[in-house]
Order: sequence, then structure tokens, then C-alpha cells
Amino acid sequence: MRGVIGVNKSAISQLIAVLMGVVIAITLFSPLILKNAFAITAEEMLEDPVLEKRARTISAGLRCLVCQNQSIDDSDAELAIDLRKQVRDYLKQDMSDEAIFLALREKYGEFVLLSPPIQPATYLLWIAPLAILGIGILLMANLFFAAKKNNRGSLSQNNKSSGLQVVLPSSKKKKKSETGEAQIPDIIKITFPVFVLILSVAIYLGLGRPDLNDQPLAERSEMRATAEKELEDRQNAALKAFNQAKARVEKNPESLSAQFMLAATASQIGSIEDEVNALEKSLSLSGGDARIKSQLAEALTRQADGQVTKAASSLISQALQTNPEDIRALYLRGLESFQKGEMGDAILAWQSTATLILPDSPLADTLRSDIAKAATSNGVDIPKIKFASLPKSNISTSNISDSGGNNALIDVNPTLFEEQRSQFSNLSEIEQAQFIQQMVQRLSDRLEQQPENFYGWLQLANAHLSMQDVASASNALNSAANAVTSDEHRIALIEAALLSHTSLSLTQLVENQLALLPDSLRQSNSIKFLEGEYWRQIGDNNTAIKLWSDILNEIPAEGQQAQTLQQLIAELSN
Amino acid sequence: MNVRYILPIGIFCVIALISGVAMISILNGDQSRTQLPSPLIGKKAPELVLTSYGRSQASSDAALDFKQMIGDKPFIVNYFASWCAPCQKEIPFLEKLSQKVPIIGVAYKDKPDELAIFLERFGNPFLHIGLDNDGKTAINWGVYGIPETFLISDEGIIIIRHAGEMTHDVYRSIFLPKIEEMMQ
Repeated sequence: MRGVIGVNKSAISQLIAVLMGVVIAITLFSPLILKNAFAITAEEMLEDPVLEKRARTISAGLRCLVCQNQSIDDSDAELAIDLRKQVRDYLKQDMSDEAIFLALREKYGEFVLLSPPIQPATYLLWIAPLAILGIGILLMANLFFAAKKNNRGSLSQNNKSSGLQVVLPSSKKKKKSETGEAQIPDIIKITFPVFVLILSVAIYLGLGRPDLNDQPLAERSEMRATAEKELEDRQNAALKAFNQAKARVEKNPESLSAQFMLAATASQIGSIEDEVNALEKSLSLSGGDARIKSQLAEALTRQADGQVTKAASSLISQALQTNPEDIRALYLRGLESFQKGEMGDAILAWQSTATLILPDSPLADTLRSDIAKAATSNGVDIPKIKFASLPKSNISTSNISDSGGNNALIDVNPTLFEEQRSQFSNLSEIEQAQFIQQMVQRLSDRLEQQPENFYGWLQLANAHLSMQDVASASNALNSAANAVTSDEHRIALIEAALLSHTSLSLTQLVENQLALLPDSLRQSNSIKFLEGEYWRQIGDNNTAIKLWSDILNEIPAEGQQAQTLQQLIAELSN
Repeated sequence: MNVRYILPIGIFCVIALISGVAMISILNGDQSRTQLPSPLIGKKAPELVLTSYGRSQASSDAALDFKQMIGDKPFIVNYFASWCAPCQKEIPFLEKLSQKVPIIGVAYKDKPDELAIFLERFGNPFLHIGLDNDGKTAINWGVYGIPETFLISDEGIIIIRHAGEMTHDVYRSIFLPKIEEMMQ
């Protein structure tokens, strides 16, 4: 029985020994294999084999200052390649090895020499190999003497039991306790090395894999985590907005704003089919609005993987007929010409697009590289691109920033929404876009520093809304909700959320904020009006009519407000 | 339990622990690698023998005459490239700085047309730009990663080498005291 166990054990330990041997061999030889595979290229090498050998030796003693723990001989960094070339240039100039080391040391300092200096930080590095060797020798000696002692013991035992093939259980036990073998169960002896192997492979794959960036660990995982979370948040918000827009369209398929919003949200979640469908419906509902035509053309192009289709092309022409300065249509016209190979036309169209946008708008980069591409494939010089300059419009932020309404609130003003819209739409489309773009950039920079700035968040939300960026707008409004410090803020927030008309992901927010208002305020006409708007937006027209009728009973019937309210109620009743 | 089994396992665990801690601290910390001391400080700035960018006349490949170009004033030499992100980030600050101190740019391994786009997009703070196409000049200056910014005295001596992005803070804390010292 003992013999069987013995065979098993030695087979397993042999297996482990072979495995470890393979691992050690790979580790030892991998630098050689990798070095030859990656670092030095044939064109770098010198023809003279003697010089080349010297070059290799010198390179091996020079630190790559980018990677720092590698010699330039086995680094692929740009600087290492340049330094290798420099070393070979020096050699061609008949410089001695010492002179080369010295020349580079004069430029890069002591640090460029690879042998690590002996200093407190590196004591462990220098001592560790010696210490490990010492410990190894001690262990070997220990094992050696123990084995000798053991041998002597078993010899005498063998002598005693010569002729007897069966070792009695009792004597076996005794022997085992003498050497201590029985103390550690076999299962641990086998699983422990395996566990260590698996652990080291896991650590290597997690931390040391060569394809990971050369970035500090904490920063890397933190960056990845925040990026993932941001993406997820944005996707969730967009998906929610899309689902709500869809519900609204189902309830009211003939509403232009509902269809248009569905298209905007579909584009955010990247569902091109839905976007195209919604835009087609919007187009027919709007009676052929030129702006929707160019949007549809863009969506169709994206649907065709960036190819401007026939349908898109005719839409572009129509849009440009109505408004020759339609940025989207102009850009697409350029793209169409580019795809047809008419580079001159493409450049012209893109150049006129550029004159309509600011040099730092996102499209500007695309335009620059597109024009450069067209010019290169046509074999002409890259033309100068002229972008629009900042508009000298007399409109100031106050027109927008007051939309949150500081004190105008408490007066009921049903036309509030429309007024702001029309004020803004007096500007040309480009002016609007440029204005908003600047504002958004400035604002979001500022708000990062002062998240408690409630009206700042409102402004930002407003700006996002005018760019149809519903997800960002609702994010901004949610941030505003965290900055609410007074009932006045609360009312302004509700108003802003309702102002969006879309309400989309914001119904919950409006509901919460309404509930948090004190009863006295909730009974006021202004809040009743807002609440009515809320119910109207979520589709409960009856409650809206009821609330608004309440207000009508309390205000003088001849006033403008009363008239507007009556109009609104009449619209809802139909 | 026998010492013979505990000892190796114990030693293994200690070594594993030490190397693990060392590895993690190296991966997380060690900011010092960004600033290596330059032995060129206090020495005469190496010549800039470069093809100049954006000048049609063939004034190329002669050493730049700092004195003629700038006069008896301290100046800055900035190694940059259009493909390097921190270089893009530091341009706005360099533009402001160039109103006080002249800046000579060395475009490290760059292509003229990409450089043109870069300068149009981010701005051009440089009095003069030389193209270091093969990286030899950078090696001569001990550059180990762009952007790197050198402060040169009116006598052509390298006073400061800063590796990494130039910011207002770096300028105020490192460059400004030296410049003021020189002006006196």
C-alpha cells in the first residue's frame, strides 16, 4: 500500500517539476525571442558586423528614457529607435564606446546609463538576489542533512526487516511522524503549487499584460469606471427619453412635435430606422419643412452607411432651394459630390459650409479633414478655409437666463413659453447655433466649479433644449434639482421642465418638485397654471382643464390672461 | 508542523507580499519620472540647425542666429508636435506667454500640412518654427518626451528645462523667478 502512494506522489511531483521547468524556460528565453522579434529592425543595422555588435552592446547599456526600465536595445519607443540610430552614427564616426557613453551622458545625464545606482531605494533590489541565494543554500543544506539522517534511519530499518516485504502499519506510522511527512496532507501539497500557478497567471493577466497601457493602475481603472458609468447614464437617459417620446407618439400620432421629438431621441439612442420613420412622418405633418428635409437627408445618409442616396440627394436639393445656407444640406451636398468623385464641387460646397460655422464648432474639424482629403485626392494644394466669425448680435444672455424667471413667476403669464421661443427664433438659425454653442461651453465649464449655481443649471438645460439635446437637458435639470434651496427655485425648475414641452424624462422631477411645494403656494394661480400644464403634457387633459378653469374663476374675465387661458382650454377640449 | 514545510511557504509568502506591495506602489505613485534632471542646465544651448517652417526662401539648414532674431533677451525654446495632446493643451498659455517672452518652436517629427492645421486650429505662439524631422536635434538637446520647454538666457545659456505641459502654475513657480533674476 505504501508503495502505491509513493508512486503517485512522485509522479505528481515530477509533473509539477516539468511544468515549472517549462515556465522557467519560457521566462528565461522570452527576452531573447521578443528582442529579436520586435525591437531592432534590419534597416537599422550596420553592415559591418563588428560595428553592429558594438552598437548592440552599447545600446544594451543605455536606458530608454521613455520606458525607463528597459534598455534602448529592446525598446520600441520612438526615442529608443532614434537613440539607436544616434549610437550607430557615432560608431560610423569612429567614436570609442566610452566616448559614446559620455556624449549621451552629457545630454541626458547619469540616468541614461542603465545599471541602477546603489542607494537606499535600491538596497532591496541589490540585496534580494544574494539573500535568496543564501536562503536557498541554507534550505538545501537542511534538506541534505535531513535526508542523510533519514537514509541512515531507513537503512537500519531495512536491515531489520530484510526478508519481510510487508511493512507493518504501526511501524509506518512511527516512521512518518519521525520525518514529519504525515503532518501536511497530500491534498495541500498538490493543490498549493497549482494554486500559486493559477494565482500568478491571474495577476499577470490582470496587471502585467503587455497590451495594457503604460498607465498607473489606479488612474487606469478609475478612468475606465467613470467613462463606463457616464456612458451608461447617458444611454439610460436617452433610452428613457426615447420610450417616452414613443409613448407620446402612440397616443398622438398626428402631433408634429411628438414625431419630431421621437426622431431626436431615436437619433440619440442610435436607432436609425425609428429616426427615419419619425422624420418622414414629421416631414409630411409639417407640410414639407425644409429643415426637416435636410435632417431626413442626413438620417438617410447615415442609414446607408454614409452614402448619399438618391432620395437623400433630392431632399438636399429641395432643402437648398428653400434655404441656400442650410448648413446640413450644404455639407451633404459636398459629401455627395465627393462620393461621385467631383472633388472640385465637393471642396466648393464644403468651403461654403465653413463660412457658416465657427472655427471651433465640432463640424469644423470634419470639414478641415474632408476638404484636405478632397484636395489631396484631386492633387491640388489644400485650400485655405474661411470660417464664420463671431456674430455681432445685440442679444445678451439675459434674454435666456431670465427664462427660469426670478420674479416674473408669481404673475400668471400663459404666453410665457411662446414669448421666449419667438424672441429666440428672431435670430437666424446660424446665429442661434453659434450663440448657444458658446454659451453651453462657458456655462458647463463654470458649473463644474460651482454645482450649487441653480440658475446656471437652468440656463444650461435651456441651451441644450434649443439644440434638441434632450438627454443633456434633463441631466442639467436634474442637477438643478440638487441645487434647489428655496421655493422660488422650485417653481423656476418646474417651469423650466415644463417649458421643454417634451417633459419626457422629467415628469417625475416635476411631480416631486410640485409635491415639495407648501400648500399655500400650491393654491396660488401661478402654480395651478403650471400644474395644469403638467397634466396636459402627460396627457390628462381633464385635470388640466379643471385646474385652469379654477384660475379663470378667480381672475377678471376681460384680461388678456383670461383670454389666453380660455383659448388653451378650448384647444384641450377638442 | 515541521519547520521544513513552514519555512519555504513562509519565505514565499513574504517575498510575494513585498514584491506585490512594491509593484502596486510603483504602478500608482512615482511621479518623479516626469522630471528628469538635465545636465545641459548652465551650459550653452546647442545650435538649432533646422529647416524652417512656412518660409518660402531657402533659409533652411543654417543654425538659427538667436541674437539676430531676438536680441539680448531671454527666450524660450519649445519642443512640440501636432500629434501630441499636451502640446495642444499648452498652446493657449504659450500664446499669452509669447507676448512677454519670445518663443521658438521646434516641431518634432511633424508633417508640414498637419502642422498647418494644428497651428490654424490651436494658435501659433511661435516667433519661428524649425522642423526636426529626424529627431536628431531633440536628442542633442536631451529631449526625452515632448512637450519640453527650455528657458534660454540672453547669453544663450540653458537655465531651465521643463518636461511636460507648460501651464501658468509651472511658469509662475519655476520660470518667472529665473526670468526676473535675469532681468535685474
